[in-house]
Order: sequence, then C-alpha cells, then structure tokens
Amino acid sequence: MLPHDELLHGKHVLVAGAGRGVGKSVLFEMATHGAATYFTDDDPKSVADTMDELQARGFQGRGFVADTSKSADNAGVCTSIEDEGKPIDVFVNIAKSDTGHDLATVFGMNLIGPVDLANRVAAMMIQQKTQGAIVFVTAPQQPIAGDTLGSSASRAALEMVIKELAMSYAPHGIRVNGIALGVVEEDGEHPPIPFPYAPLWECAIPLAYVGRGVAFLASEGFSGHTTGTMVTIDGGLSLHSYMTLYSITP
Amino acid sequence: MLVQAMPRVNLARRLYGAWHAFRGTSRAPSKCSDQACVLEVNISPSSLLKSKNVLIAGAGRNIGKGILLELGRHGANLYLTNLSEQLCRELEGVHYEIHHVHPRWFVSDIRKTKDNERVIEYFRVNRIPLDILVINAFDDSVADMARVFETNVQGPLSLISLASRMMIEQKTRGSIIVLSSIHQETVHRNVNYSSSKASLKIVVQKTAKELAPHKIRVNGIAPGYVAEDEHGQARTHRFTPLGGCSIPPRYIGRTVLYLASDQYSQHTTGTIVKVDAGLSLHTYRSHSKSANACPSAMLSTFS
Repeated sequence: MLPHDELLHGKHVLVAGAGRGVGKSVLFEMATHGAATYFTDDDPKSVADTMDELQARGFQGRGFVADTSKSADNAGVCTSIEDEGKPIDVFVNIAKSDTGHDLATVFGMNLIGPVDLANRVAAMMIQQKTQGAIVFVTAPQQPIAGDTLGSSASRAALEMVIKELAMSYAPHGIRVNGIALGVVEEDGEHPPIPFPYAPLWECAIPLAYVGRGVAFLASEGFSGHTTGTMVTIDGGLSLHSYMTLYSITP
Repeated sequence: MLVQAMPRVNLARRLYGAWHAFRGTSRAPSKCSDQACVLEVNISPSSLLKSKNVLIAGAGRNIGKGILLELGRHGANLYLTNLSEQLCRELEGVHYEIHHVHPRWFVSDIRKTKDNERVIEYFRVNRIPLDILVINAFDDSVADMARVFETNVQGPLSLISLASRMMIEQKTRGSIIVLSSIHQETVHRNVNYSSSKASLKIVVQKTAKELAPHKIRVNGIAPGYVAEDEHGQARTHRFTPLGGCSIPPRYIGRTVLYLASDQYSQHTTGTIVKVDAGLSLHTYRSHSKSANACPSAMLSTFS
C-alpha cells in the first residue's frame, strides 16, 4: 500500500451523503488517507453515530445534518465551513439508491441537489484559489429488481454533468470526475457477498474499493491531469450483453 | 494599408490568436505562464508493486518510458520490448530521481507472433510469473492501414492471449493494461489510427470478460495529449482545458500504477480510464462566450 496517511495529507474533504453505506466507507477511506473530513447526511442519528465512530478511530471530522436536495441546506453547509476558515480541497457526492422514490425525487436527490452543492463548493474553491477535485459517485446498482428508471436516467445525466462541469471549472484548475459503480455491498463488516453476474470475483464490490477509487481521483499526485472522466468499478458487470449468455468458447 | 493588403483569413487568424493569447493569460493566472503550467504533485515511492514482474510492450519514449520509470519507483521488476535496440540500450540503466531503474529488454515487434512468443517463452522457461502486462506499442501511419491494424489491434490481441495463457498456467492473478487513446471516440483526422483504437477498446472489453473467470483483469487508458520537454516539464497546449498544457508521461504511469495495483483496483475490469485533462471534451462551443459562463456564478435558490 502507498504510505497511507500521505495521499490526501493536509487536504480538507467534504463528503455528501456519508451517514451510512458507501458514503460512510468513502468518508473513512478519505480519513485513512490523511484528509480532514466534513460530511453531511439527512439523518441526525447517522450523523451523530458517524461522528462518534470518527472520533473513536482518532480522525478529525465534522458532520452536518443537511439534505443535499435542499438548496438552503447546501448554502448552510458551505457557510459553516467558510466560517471555520478552512478551504475545501475535495468534494465527494454519493448518490443514494432510489428504491421507492418517484422520478422527480430521485433527480432532486441524486442530480439537482448535488450539482447545486458542487457549484457552491466550486465557488469556494475559486475564491480561495484551491485547485481542488470534485468526485461524483453514482448510486450502486441494486441486485434486486426494482424501480431503477430514476437511477439509470440520473446516472446518464450525471455523466454529462461531469463533462460539462469539467469544462467549466478547468480554467480554475478544478477537476471533476465520476465513479460508476456496479453492485456494491451495503456495509463492509462481513465476507464478500456472492453475486454471480460480476464475472471477475463473482461477488458484490467490497466498500473499501469505492473509497480507494475516490482517493485515486481526489489525489493530485495520482490524477492531477484527469478531468471529465468516468471510472467504472463494477467487477466486469457492465460487460454483460445478451451475447455473453451463449457459451461460446473462444 | 498593410492590414488591408493582407488576405482576410490571415487577419481573422491573427485576431483569433491574439484573442486566445489574451484568454490564455486571463483564464488561470495562478497556474499558467507563457511556459507550461505547474501542476506537479508527486506521490512518494512505495512498495505497492514490490516483486511484481511487469512487461511493457513498446517502452522507449514518452508514454512507455513514463510508465517504466513510474512503475520502477514502486518496486516492480521491469521488462520491456521495443523495435529499436538503441532505445532499449538507452533504458538499460536509468537514474530516475533517486532510483536506479534497471529493466531487462527484448527487441521485439508486436506485429510478429514469433516475437511475442519468444518474449513470453522467456518468462515461462525462467519460471518468472508475469503479474502485469502493459501494451503501449502503437502505429499511427497514414499510408498503411493494414500495418496500423496489425500493430494496434492484432498484435496486442496476440500478446494478450499468449500472456494470459501463461498467467493461467502460472496461476498469477494478473493485470493487463492496454493503452488506447481518446481518439477511440473522437475524430483524429487519421482514419487508420482512430478506427484501430476504437477496435482496441472492444478488444479490452472482450478479453476482460473472457479472462474474468481466471481472475485476470484487463483495463485500458485513453490518454489525451501527452508530452514533456527536455527538462521533464509539460508543454503548452492551448486546446487542453485543464492547465492549458500537455500531460507529463509520468501521470499516465500513475494511472497504470492504479490499475496494476490489486490494493487499489482489485474489482476493476473492462474499464477504460480517460486521462486527457478534458481534451476530448473540446467542442465547437468551447470558445463561445455564452457557454463559458461559470455555473457557480449563476447559483439560484430552490426549495
């Protein structure tokens, strides 16, 4: 492993949607790589629990109870961080899974809100002349059938958002990239969950690897010249097509 | 008088140039000067690839050399191939920062199956497990389409199949990284090059799927404009949006490092990572005034 506390040493990272699951694991991976962290979640209990856990593991961090889909909440988070006088170097947004929500809610939650927050953070970066990084993580795909229209449509929109924002903020040295997830496990406390359709390891992606992908895109050393890029982390899941169902031996 | 005497096109071009020069200095004053920009952060040497055996097909200059040196910093045993014996000898013992990179080399042509077999046979006979294969060899000839496809598609495919067969025998859970180009999707004005890179993308996806059951990962990198000057600095490149400069080859090396390392990307296969500082996003609207308004300046409040 790379010297662990070095990749993001001295960086201030804001992770939106870090109360549980993928977001929480990304938060801890950022902290492990040496970053001071801020995070948001809309559930007060998750925020309090995550704060306790951060402190228990000896990491710096501050949580905000905020709903990313509300512009006022986003403005509040940015003002609080500005008041502390710390620059934000990295902003990571974790899209939520969409089961049980209608299309407008999913777009507000996974697209319009996060883009609003990203723009606010970018405005702070520009003001403070930080050559920062913005990383959008798509919602993990669900292994069960469900209402996934919102997920796939907002994912497609997000790919374009990443390209547009990459172009808009390139003159300020701000990089904008994304991570497209396959099926990801829900919490990382157990052995890998079998998932036969991901051909590589036939399991759901362990949470730590999402965080390491984010670390790659957040670190200037690793990816200082990468912007407008979508990195897929899915164990080969997206290589599926109807043709791969036939057993043709090469 | 003088200006009037000049053809219209020239005037337009000069005005455009002057406008661009003006923009170039006003867009990112903190970073860009007349010389190339400074966007240099190092990641310190590690043992991320310690005792991993890496074969780089087509390492001599620019990207190939950048990958070689960068992987050397992280403890890999290096093997390289090149068409030219002279280039191989130049890389025999290179001092890079504080490291002494000492690769073993083969003069080999990726188009020739015999050559590929000979290289792979060396690993097999000497019982060297091949952990990482990087394919960088390419041809961008305008004249000879068949040769371009032999170098950019058939060659890599043959090397991947030979190497992966050996990886399966040796039971190494290897990682294969193929250098494609942003021109797999964007127009290059060289039909041979861009169409061959488009095929290469499918080669990556197909082999990734086929080799997944053997736990061998296959990924690609699509670089933008990669170059450095004689001092290892980026070159000015006005069409690259981020930094207005070329990408130094070592940054491609670091993306290879990410894709080669199991700790970082064990669950990544069939992916092509674009490293182009935004170059492929360039469109006809890139210079339009209305399109260049910054979204952060237009924040509105909604419920």
